[in-house]
Amino acid sequence: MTTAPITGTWFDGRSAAGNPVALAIDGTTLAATLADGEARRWALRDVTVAEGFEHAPRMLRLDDEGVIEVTAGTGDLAVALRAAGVQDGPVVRMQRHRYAAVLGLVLCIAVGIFAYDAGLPAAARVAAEHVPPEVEQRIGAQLRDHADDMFLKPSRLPAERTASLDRRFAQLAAQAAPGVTYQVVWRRMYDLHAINAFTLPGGTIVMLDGLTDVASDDALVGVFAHELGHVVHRHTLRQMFQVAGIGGAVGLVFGDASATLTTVAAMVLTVGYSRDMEREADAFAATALKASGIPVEPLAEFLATMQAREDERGQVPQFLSTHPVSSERIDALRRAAGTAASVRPVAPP
Amino acid sequence: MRGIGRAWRAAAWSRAIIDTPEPPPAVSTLPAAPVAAPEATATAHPAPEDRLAGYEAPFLFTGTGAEYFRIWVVNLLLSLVTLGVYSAWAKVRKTRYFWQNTRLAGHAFDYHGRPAAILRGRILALLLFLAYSWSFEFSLNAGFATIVVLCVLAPWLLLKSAQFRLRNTSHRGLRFGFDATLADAYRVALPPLVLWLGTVGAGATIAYRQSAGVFAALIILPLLLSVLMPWIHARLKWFVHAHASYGDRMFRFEPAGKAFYKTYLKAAALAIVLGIGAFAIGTVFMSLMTIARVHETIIQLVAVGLAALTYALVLPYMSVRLQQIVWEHTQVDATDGQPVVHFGTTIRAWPLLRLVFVNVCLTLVTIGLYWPFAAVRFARYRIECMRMSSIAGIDAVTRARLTPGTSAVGDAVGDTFGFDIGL
Repeated sequence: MTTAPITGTWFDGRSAAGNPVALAIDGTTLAATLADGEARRWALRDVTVAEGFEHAPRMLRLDDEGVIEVTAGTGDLAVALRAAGVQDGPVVRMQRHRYAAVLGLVLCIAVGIFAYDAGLPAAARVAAEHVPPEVEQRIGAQLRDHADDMFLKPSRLPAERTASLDRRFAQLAAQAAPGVTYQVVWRRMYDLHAINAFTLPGGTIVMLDGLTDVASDDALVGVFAHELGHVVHRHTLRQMFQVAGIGGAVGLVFGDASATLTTVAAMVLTVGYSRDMEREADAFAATALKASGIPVEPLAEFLATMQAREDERGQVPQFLSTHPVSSERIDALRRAAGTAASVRPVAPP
Repeated sequence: MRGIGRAWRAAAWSRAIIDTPEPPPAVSTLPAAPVAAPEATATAHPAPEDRLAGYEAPFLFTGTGAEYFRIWVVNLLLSLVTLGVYSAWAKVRKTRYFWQNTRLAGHAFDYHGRPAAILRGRILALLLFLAYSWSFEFSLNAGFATIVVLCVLAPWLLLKSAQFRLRNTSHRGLRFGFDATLADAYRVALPPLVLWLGTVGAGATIAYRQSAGVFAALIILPLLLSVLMPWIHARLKWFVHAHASYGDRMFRFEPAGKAFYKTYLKAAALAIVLGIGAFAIGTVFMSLMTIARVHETIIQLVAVGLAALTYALVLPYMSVRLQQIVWEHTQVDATDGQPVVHFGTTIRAWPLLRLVFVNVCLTLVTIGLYWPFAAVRFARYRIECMRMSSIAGIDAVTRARLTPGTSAVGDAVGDTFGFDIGL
């Protein structure tokens, strides 16, 4: 059975000069008739048929003998190829389906949401579990040395206060997270009165003077419980893996668009994970405080004060930029501790 | 011979490059990959009068956003569910789509890269990238070991990357080629690598030891890098454009260092003038906003916006001017009986800026969904601005030596580290 002739240009792979040809697919053979009447034949199995595009010439690649560029009648060619049993690849077939783009898009979004919500956090948790403690300690120590060199100074807090706080912290940790290694270091931010505390991989909790200056000891125990939550859940290590994962995934989507877009998207997505981790640390703090019989109210009140300060001054205290507070979060903290009380607005000090 | 070529070229281009008010309807360049392969030459049926009058081959891009959208979505989905493994196949399909839709004098380009080779390259690229980003977290020695390895490997990767790209691109059944030596690659890539990685190393060392030497390195190395940047950039262009071939015909690239310096200096001057203006406006605004107790974040946003505006105005100017320079300096040499082939581009800063602005805005508004349409629009503009001209056609170009089996390692590593070697 012979199909309708199809025209194209045959380039023989030795010269850039093209030979106009009329093509036909005859059973398992591709037959080309040149302008001078000469006929050439190739077994179809030796011909690589490139994916067809709407407006592009289709390429029939003939290993050593160049290529036939089918300029017109690609539709006819597709029919002829199908009749001869030459199939497109599975991906091309799938894509040709009428709703393929819509379905693909919906699936992409679904896969994306699933990966973001469950897949990556779970993978990061597993990965974090497989990091030997020595490696985590070492990363933490490096970061701490770096921070000490760059922007941290020894604390000016009186030794009696740190000693008494250390004792209270130890009591809470023994009660809420027995066996968990942690280490509290007291530091002062270079010139700034940064109201903040943060956790490094390997269980180092850094408390800054800016924070200890404005928070009561009771509130500081609450802040410690929160940071201990980060340690127990190995948040910093998990976040490192999540940032890497987000970077890779975002690179897949926007990589060929722009580096800036990639970075911004990765940052925005990473913020979501930070919030989740803050919530997790809050939940831990509430449970830990309750178990140790320590009231959660001082911590809640401290957070509310910080928030009020933000509303008042129109600027974000450092503590809030890494620990985004909302009434909802404070409320959740109070509820979890079983001291449910509606958020009272607190006057700034 | 060469003199005649120059005179002719000057006549042909002065119209095309300098005066053209609108991008002409049918012309062009390469798709996404910056270094797009130097185009081939072209014409199917050189009429005798063309030989006398000169021949200009039109570049045409026939892809559409809607069609590429389908390819993009399927590529993305499969890449996501295979945790990135399919991205090598996706890259081949994407590259083929852009090349097969690019026509020079009526005939399309084709791409022959093998996904397995690209996948191997991506895995190596990933390993190198991880080493690069994490080694200093472990120790200073591990960091410096990585830097040395990168310095040794990168020029080789640069060479392999260009080879893979060009040797896997064809037009009219003939492959492009790339014949630089490893020594060329080292000569071109080592100066910027040593300066850049030296800066990274000094930056990392400062956390451990603050010595005068380290501080000096932190100042001198970046300074040297910026002073030498135009030269480095011109050399990279030379590396790719001077060693490319099509069939048995070699590409040539006239030294362009001076032109690069001029463009960089003009861009710097423009940036300074705009920067002073932006700074003045910014200062006024900021004091007003501080008085009005505007939220700190908004003040920061305005500052970033003004800086971005300066950047957004200078960058297209520089990019466009450099593309013009690069293509004006590129030609295909004459071989027996074959005339010289010249290139050029009518790309201009203002339309490019407008296009990029619209593309970025729509891509952001649609959370990325517009991206495939943007990519197609951008490719069409760049490709159809490209010009290739010759006194005759290219039918008699004879077969090149085929060099199959080049690895894709360099190409993928180039992607990851952003060693974009062309525009």
